[in-house]
Amino acid sequence: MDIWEIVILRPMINVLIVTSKYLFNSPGLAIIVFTILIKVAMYPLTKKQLLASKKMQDMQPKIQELQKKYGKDKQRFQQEQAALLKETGAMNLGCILPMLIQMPIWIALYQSIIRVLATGPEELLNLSRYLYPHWNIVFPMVPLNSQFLWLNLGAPDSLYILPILVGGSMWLQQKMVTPTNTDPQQAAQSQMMLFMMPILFAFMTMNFPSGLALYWVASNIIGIIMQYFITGWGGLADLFGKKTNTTGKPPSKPADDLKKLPAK
Amino acid sequence: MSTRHKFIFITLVVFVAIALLVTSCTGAIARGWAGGTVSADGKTIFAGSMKGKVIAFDPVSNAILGKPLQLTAPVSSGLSCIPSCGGQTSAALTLYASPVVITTPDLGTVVYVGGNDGKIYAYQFVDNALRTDAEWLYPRQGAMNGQIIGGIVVANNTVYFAMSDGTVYALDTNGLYKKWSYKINSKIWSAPVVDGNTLYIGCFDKTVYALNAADGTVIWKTKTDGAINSTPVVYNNRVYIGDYARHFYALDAATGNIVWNFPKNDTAPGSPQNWFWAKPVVLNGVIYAPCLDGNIYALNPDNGNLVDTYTFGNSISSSPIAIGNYLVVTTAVGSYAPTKQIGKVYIMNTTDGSHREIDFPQYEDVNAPLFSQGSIVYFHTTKDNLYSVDTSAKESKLTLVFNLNTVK
Repeated sequence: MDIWEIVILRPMINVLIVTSKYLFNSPGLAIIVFTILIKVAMYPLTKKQLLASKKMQDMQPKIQELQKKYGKDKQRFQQEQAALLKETGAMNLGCILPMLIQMPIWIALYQSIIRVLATGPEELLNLSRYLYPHWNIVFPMVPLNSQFLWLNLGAPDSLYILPILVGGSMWLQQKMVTPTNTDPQQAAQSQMMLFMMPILFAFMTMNFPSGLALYWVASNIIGIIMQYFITGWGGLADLFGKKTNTTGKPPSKPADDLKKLPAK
Repeated sequence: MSTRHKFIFITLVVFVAIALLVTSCTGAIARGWAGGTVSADGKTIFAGSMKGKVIAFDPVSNAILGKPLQLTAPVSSGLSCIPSCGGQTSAALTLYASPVVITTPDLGTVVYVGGNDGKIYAYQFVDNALRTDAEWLYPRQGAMNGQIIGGIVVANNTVYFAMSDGTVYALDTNGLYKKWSYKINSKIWSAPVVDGNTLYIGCFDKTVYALNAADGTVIWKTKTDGAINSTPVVYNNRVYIGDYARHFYALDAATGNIVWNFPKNDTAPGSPQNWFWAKPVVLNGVIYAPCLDGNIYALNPDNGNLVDTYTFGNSISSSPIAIGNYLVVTTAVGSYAPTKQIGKVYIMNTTDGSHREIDFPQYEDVNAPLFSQGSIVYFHTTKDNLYSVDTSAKESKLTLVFNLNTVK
């Protein structure tokens, strides 16, 4: 075992098994509760990331304005853009860094779920390596009861309900953070990204064990709720016919903001 | 996040997602661990490869007899994993169950093979070669709803096996006609054992079943503390079996009553630290219970008292084998240094506990049950190599017989 397995994976696997013991022997419920707990634990980072994202989105009209103004002079445009970002505190790292910090946790959760569901003999044999010898409770628990609602958590959803839920919930979450673009080229790019991820994940769900898809659905739904409380409906507001930006406030006037920038 | 950064991020996520998709597909592919079987006259060994080959060979010269069989199964269609989307219609069958051979005046020599497609194949062995086409097949048409993981047993002119969907089957050795089946609402990954007219099998529903081998009716069933993957051993009218709760039991073969269980107390020092996975062995009146914690627990069959604990370090997932006073044991590639990458063979003298040990090549170990012919023990490794060790030799060494997948 390497450091990753000892420090992250092994504890997560054992806790996941114990959690399912106390949730009516249901690994399905354990996956949902575990996802909620990790999402809640990650809330400060998520909030930071979403607020930074929102700030960047709010900057977009101003950046577009700069682009119009200094479009031919790339160097000047970059200088002005950097100055604008510095002035407003909307740094790119603010969006990416919290996301990167969360990544290992999500990868660990993904690997734990795959290992705990152990559909084949080799996988189950491998799982035995991860169990804590002194936790008597985990040994009789395995193999976990893979039945949850209509699902066999170790196999793909034969009714294709989960792929729809995964794709749908992911689209909603994406839509909330996708700004309304006036530039047709960028709008097209945004639209492509808005649909590409949900379709890809929906397709993947058709092949993945349902337990993993359940984790995606739970994660997306909690993500939507958190996003609503942090940044509002965002892009979804357009669906309800409200012409608002992500803050729910009337759009700012980019030209006015530019006037406030220090003269170069 | 700017559109450009978002685009970069999403592209990265897409790459990760595709990687996960590929990993998940390949990770779910069964690898198999079939062992081998020796013909009644001892002149032929039949071994199963991980990729659906059945090979007959001469144990003296190691010469291949006839042409190896290649069993295949149709590839699932529709929205399946990437590896199966390459236009293939069939793929090599994975074998977990060791082939079984019988020789009778009526049937001649027949080899029975159970695949992870859930089917039983019977091949005639004529003129020192396996016939290419199956003599019989069960079921003749359609697919089975599960895999054969545990193994097959032939007794009373009947082929007995359990499917992973929880069904125990009894088929006539002549023609593979179904005699009976019994459905248990649980996964079964262990092989049945037939003693006289009773079939014993352990299941994932934490129960040991005793079925009438003639008609499949339940004689008794006994609850255990954990799921059962191990194959039982019947000895002196008792059934010995271990479970995932790290308990080992002696059951009365007639009534199913628990006579004793080991350990008496889970927290006692020296208690098993992992599942009982492999089949136990009886040797010189002692039960040897292999455990995934890397120990073999030698138990008194009368009262379950611990006679001795033999520590091998790494997990023991393949069933050991007894040769004279020797117990031959293999351990898996370890999780921690210094045995992290090394699987081993131990030849242990049970009279004094001394042992010789031999290393497998790096990253290679054994999950398949061991089998023997005379003093030679065979090991089918996770790289599909078949090795042998002569336990009677003063300096035991590992000899590569051949690779079961590439042999022609």
